[in-house]
Amino acid sequence: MSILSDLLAKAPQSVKDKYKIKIREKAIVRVKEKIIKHNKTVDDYSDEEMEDLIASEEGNLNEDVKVTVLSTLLVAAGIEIVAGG
Amino acid sequence: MIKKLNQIAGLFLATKVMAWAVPDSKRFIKGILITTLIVLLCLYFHSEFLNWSEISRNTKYISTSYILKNLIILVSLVVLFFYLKTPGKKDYAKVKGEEKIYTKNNNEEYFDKFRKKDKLKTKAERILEKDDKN
Repeated sequence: MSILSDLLAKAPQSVKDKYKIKIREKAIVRVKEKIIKHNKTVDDYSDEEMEDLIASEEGNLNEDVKVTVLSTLLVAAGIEIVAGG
Repeated sequence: MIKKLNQIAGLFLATKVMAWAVPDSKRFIKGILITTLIVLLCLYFHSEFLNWSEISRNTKYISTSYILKNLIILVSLVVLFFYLKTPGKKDYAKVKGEEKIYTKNNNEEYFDKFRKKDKLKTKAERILEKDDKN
């Protein structure tokens, strides 16, 4: 998580906000999909439970971004080694 | 050929990045394009009318045409100004079958309170916070 946090810490506030908004919206979409999958309605969850669901999804999404960034970096490094060697 | 393709790909990517960075840029580009089209069409039709009046020697409506042309351009610019000034309706991503999760008391606006919160807390974080206070 530190790489992503470092990157976010260095980025300007507007970019940070945009990243947060994007991630929050994706997390909400994932939560909606989960609710649909389990045939529930939003009334079945309290505000705290819903916040917990969205916060967990946000955490998962941040993990996904971290993995994607790392894999991209590794692939780029791998290509460079193959091309150079 | 490759240069052209490269330029098109670059333009496409730049538009995508712009749409991501400035979500309202789509609205901005749309407004500018429509206004430009209206102004260009207006100029074209006016020049056509001037040509026609010169050939037919019918100069009766020339002064009116100038007033009309400038009026159309002015109105389209004013409309563009107000169109860009007013914030567009926020369109959130829709999920298939989403309407099923809402009830009479709740609709899409239900999630707005979570969108507006700065930091969302998980259950574990809330418990830890409580423990810290105790």
